Amino acid sequence: MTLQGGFTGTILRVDLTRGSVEKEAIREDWAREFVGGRGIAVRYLHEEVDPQVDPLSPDNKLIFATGPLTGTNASCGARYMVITKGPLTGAVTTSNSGGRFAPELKFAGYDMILFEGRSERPVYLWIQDEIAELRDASHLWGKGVFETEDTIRRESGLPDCAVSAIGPAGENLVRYAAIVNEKYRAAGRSGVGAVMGSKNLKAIAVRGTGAVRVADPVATMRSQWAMKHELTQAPLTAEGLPAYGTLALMNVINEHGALPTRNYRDSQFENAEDISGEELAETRLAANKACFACTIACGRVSRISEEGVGRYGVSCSPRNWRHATEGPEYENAWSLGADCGISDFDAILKSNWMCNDLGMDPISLGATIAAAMELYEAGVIDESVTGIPMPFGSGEALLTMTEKAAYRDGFGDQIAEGSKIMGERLGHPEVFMGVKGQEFPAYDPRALQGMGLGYATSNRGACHLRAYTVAVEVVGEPEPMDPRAAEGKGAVTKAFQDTSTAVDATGLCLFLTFGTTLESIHPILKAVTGFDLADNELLQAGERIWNLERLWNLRAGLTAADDTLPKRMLKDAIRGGPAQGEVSRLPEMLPDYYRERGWTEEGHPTAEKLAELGLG
Amino acid sequence: MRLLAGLRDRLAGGSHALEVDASSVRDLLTRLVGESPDFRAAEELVFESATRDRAARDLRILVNGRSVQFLAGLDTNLQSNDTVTLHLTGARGYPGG
Repeated sequence: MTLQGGFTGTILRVDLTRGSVEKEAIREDWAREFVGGRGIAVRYLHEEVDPQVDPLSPDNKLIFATGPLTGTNASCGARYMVITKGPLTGAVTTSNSGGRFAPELKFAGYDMILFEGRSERPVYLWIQDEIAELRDASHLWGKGVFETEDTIRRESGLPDCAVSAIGPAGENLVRYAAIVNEKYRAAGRSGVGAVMGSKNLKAIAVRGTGAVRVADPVATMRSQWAMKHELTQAPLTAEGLPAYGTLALMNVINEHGALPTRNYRDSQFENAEDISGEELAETRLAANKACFACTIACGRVSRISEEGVGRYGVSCSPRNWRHATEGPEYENAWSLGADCGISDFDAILKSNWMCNDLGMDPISLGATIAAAMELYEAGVIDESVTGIPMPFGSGEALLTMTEKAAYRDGFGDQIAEGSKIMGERLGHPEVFMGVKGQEFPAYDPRALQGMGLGYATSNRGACHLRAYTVAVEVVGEPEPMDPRAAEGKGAVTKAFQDTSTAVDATGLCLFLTFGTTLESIHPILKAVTGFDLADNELLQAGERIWNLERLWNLRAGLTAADDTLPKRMLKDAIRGGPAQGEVSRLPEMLPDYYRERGWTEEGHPTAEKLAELGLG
Repeated sequence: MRLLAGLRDRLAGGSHALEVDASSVRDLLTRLVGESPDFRAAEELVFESATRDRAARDLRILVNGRSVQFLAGLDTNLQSNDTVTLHLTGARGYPGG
């Protein structure tokens, strides 16, 4: 088989121990079965990395993977996925980012970069079309993401190059360090930045002048225009996300009584309005911003308020934004806000800005600070331990600990470990609110039962992007399902997981699915790749990838016992608000989910299921 | 009554919250439309059709945080001090995957 389009056909294999960069052909026989992006990279991980590997050892590998639709003119074809074993979770990690880094990599001629080993000294990978070489990064080590990117652009003489980099958090192996491109787009979760830091790899910079070949240009244009039209017809992708961004969810989720507050001790935040999308749009929004080829533009450019500049001014990048920064997304405003009991929007914006520059996941950071605040208020820890007062609601504590975590300074060294390890070390593991070592995002699984099942069974630890049952439980699409009910959640969780995995494998953005379906993506994929895909082949590829991730996790030592939720979610009823009295009904939903998946009661894919998916 | 996002400008002149006397959700929405300066636009935003027998597809109505899709729909009775929240969704397909 010869790849006709979508794929460049070439990957870069970078051996950081030897200092070599080699080009090799992509495994064409995997391209159709696993599509690309997250899919084909997980196949490489399965083939090449021992699941028992220490995530921060040279034997772990770090893969940057685009999809066949990345860099095409399909709407939102901007994504790349970082795949590795995560230091936060010990599980397979698949962390996604947009911007324009991934299209640039395709234009330079590469589908994927696979890093192995560990460099003796800090380096960065420079790619300019056929040139791919490691360069010294000693002068960049210790720098923030912004300065790193600006320096590489200036030194290279190619200011249009795209840079993906780690900050001090990645260098200091913070367990939830992120990889950040174009300063504000991040492969944020599970500590992919720490793996990069462990390899002494500071950045990747790429400039490409080629294009993505497509198998059938006319069919590509027709099918992608049809999908763009659909996106203009769905009010959410045409109006809602451009106007309010994902932060529109703050008030919505709060009204449903599902907004986790003060480390999941409450499920409504009395000050949600102050940190909402409506508040941002009225008082702070400077512009919205789109990734490459995006027709939605959900990104925010937000100003620190005039009153807040004295306390929380940011050194803006680009400079002409003055005291403005990108973000925040709903999840970040929640983790740095409601989950810490903080309603000071300027403090949230500043912490979010710092997370981008320092290279950290704001979800896990905010959630870990919230867990520490709970211990502080309970009297378990005091200022002799933390160095500063850390009550819920303190913006000063948030900002101080944001910096200290990135540098592992003082109590920041505990925050840098994530709330699971921090809680265990302090003798209170019950403050960890998450799954498989990764902190929950912004939906209380007691109020939205499907989200609890999705969190518990996510291959990369607690995550909202793997099975967004908010769609059926809050939005009511494609059909409304009662958020309090357990019945039927196994099937819908499986369906959402397989669908979102399929989208991830194409290189498109998951937000497309707020306005369109796999049925509309399918003809674009056919036209671009030339694959003669059967009607359900893309969805089945999603299921295949999901099962392969599961198999890898099982070989890493995870079991069905890891498909669980904290006791607070299973035993402690919500104390007030619309969902008062609710607990997670995971024990009812999980067996149903395993049956829907074709897995055993112990959560293992059956031989029949593996044979059906070609994994036997 | 709480209004979220774009509904504030389109139904309540920018207000976040309104006090409304109503015996049911249908009654409440009818009063809301009746008091709107742009009657037709408000009706289209709130009801599926001029017969007013169904809420608009993209409108979500919560009574004390519970969607009326899981209560009695537009016939859901209201008590004094109930909180009704209106928000728009506008998703299509298979949102979020």
